[in-house]
Amino acid sequence: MGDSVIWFLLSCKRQVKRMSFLVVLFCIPLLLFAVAALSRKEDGGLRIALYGEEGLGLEAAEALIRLPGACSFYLCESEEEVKQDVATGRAECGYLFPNDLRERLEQDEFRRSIQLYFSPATVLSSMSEEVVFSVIMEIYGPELLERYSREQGWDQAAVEALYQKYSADGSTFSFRYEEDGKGTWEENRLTAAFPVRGIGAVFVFMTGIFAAAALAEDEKKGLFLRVSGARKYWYFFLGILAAVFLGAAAVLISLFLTGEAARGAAGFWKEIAAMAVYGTGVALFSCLLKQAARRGEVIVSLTPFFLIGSLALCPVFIDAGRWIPGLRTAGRLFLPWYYLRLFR
Amino acid sequence: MMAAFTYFKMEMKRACRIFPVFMAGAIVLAALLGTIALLAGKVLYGEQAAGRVQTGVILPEKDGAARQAVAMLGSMDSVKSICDFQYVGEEEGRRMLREGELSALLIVPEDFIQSIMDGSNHPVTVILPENPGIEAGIFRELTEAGTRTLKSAQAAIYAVDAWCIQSGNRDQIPKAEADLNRIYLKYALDREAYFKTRMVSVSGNMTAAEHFFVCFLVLFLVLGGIPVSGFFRKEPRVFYKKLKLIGIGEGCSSAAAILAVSCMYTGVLAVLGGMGALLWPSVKTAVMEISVPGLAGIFLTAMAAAAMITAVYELCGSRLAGMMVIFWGSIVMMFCSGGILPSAFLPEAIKKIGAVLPGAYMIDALEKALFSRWSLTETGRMAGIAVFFWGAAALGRRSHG
Repeated sequence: MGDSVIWFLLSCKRQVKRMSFLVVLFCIPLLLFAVAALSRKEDGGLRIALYGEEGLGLEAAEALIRLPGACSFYLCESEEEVKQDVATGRAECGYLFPNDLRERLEQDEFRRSIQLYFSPATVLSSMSEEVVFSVIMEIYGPELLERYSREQGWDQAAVEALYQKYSADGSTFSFRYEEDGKGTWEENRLTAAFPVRGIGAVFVFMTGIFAAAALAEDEKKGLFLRVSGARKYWYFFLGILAAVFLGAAAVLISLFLTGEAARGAAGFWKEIAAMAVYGTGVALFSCLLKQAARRGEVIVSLTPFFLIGSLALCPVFIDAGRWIPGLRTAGRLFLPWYYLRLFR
Repeated sequence: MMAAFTYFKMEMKRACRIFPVFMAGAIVLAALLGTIALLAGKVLYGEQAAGRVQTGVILPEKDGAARQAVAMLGSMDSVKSICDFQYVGEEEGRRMLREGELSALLIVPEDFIQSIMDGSNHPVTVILPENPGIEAGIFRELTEAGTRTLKSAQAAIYAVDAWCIQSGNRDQIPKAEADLNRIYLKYALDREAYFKTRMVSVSGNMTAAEHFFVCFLVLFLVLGGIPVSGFFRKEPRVFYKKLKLIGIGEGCSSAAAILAVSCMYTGVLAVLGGMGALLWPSVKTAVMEISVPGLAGIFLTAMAAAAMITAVYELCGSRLAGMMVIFWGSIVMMFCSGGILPSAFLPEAIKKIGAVLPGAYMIDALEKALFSRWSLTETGRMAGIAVFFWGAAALGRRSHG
């Protein structure tokens, strides 16, 4: 037992002796803290550019700018500015309203009347179309009713007053939004936070694999010559565990610094226990990988597979398995999947 | 000069020894990504909507009308293309929501249809998972937009009903409701027809898939520094002293390393491009359309990535630390540049930072090289990145060597 502890501590010492490794471990929590802090800054939401000079188009643009929600509409000075903002990514997409939009609606010539600019990076134009259309209907809807009541010879002012009453008194259909276990979900945001836990899990996984490759090289240089049999594999495991332990410590500190760690005393111990089990699993997996691959170069050549597989198939950025069923099964091949599942 | 050239040949020889292993890793990676793309394509462009936003629906007991209404809603093309409804009990639905099997849960209230007809309009409760993600946000924006559109029609019909009752013309109600339904539906049914779409891009005509393919390529180039780590072994100090004695300083030796890694990257891209061209005619067409300046641009971009990787390893002085820096640096850089998640979902502060990182410039450069026209601006940018990191690599080699 004493030998094992000494070997483990010496392996840790060997890693931290390299100043660059220590600096990197130190910088990881600081970098993630900075990125997480920037991610949390209030910024107004998904930017969508608008341009309209007069008439219904300008009214719709002004109403969209005032509209609360995840989209942040803004008015541009010219059509060129809209195109430039969309092309350079400053805006998700852009809308140009014609000056005669109202007339086109009245004459049933509204098809393809609003220009929508999008870029190859645009992903939410369909959603924004629905939002823009709904605001146009909010403004033009009363005019449709006014025209109909005029044709019927009714008192337009009275009908309009009734319309305003029913649209404002909550008697029309609506949805109520709740967040499971927390009550009303007030604010809608479409911004993604940097996934500290997900990336941290993949980092610990990769640290184990890197350490296995490095130790395979050390074995070739004769580091384990004086150790034989089962003890050699045990010391190998401890060597990998040392690197994983240091990486896991950096990730745990990052989780607490960025506020992503589970809260309270129970949460604290859950984080420690989960990372301990996960780290041990990673070290074990890396040992088995080393036994299967034998050479450090082979292990290193497999790193893109494990890296991209973990990033794409485990719920790091998005849960791809929810959208593409086959990927949920594939995600189980990668250890980060099991660690991340503990915190869903 | 001869000494420098000989040293460069030696570095190329070292790179060639590592190349087969690097290539094997790249092929495995390409196969993995191809499988993911195939599965994703089947869901996005396939006939079945199953597997999209799984939405649980909790219906009141013995309310056949509500079930019919929800079934009708679920059969509409616009809803079917996004959501897949499942009828569940409340306890089971909340459990499925917590475990991620459902993206949203709709609780239809008692007497739902009756409430619409009599104007009391009991709201439908949408329950989203704890810490709702982006898909929940999109779902909410869509439902709010639908509610606004429906509200204008409903308010008009209620106003007309009330007016007809007030003015003693109850018998006009059915015709007025039918007329208004027809009028509002005419404007609201085919909403996409209002918009005339046009793509604008600084990189020429490109689809979204092509843009994200380029983002993957850049991610591959920067993360490729990990499997290439075997090239960056630390030589003894006396080795660098001897090199200096024959006139090969840190700058020259770093440049040789960068060129060797650039050739490895270009070799891998060429092999993968060739394999893709053999397997898919569309890839073959795309590859054949790359111009000579575009090919030079791809090499220059690979060189910029190689320079970054070399600088990291030389500054860190150890392979493990270098791999960790490449891992974190690549992920954070590509995240901020919109190369992992679309920039639509990034906070403004992150987008501003991402726009000035090398990753964003490399994405622009590859887009121009592959799908548009390579220009002097891109040459200047990639050369600038390569020179900057070459300087950093030389500095690192001097401090550690």
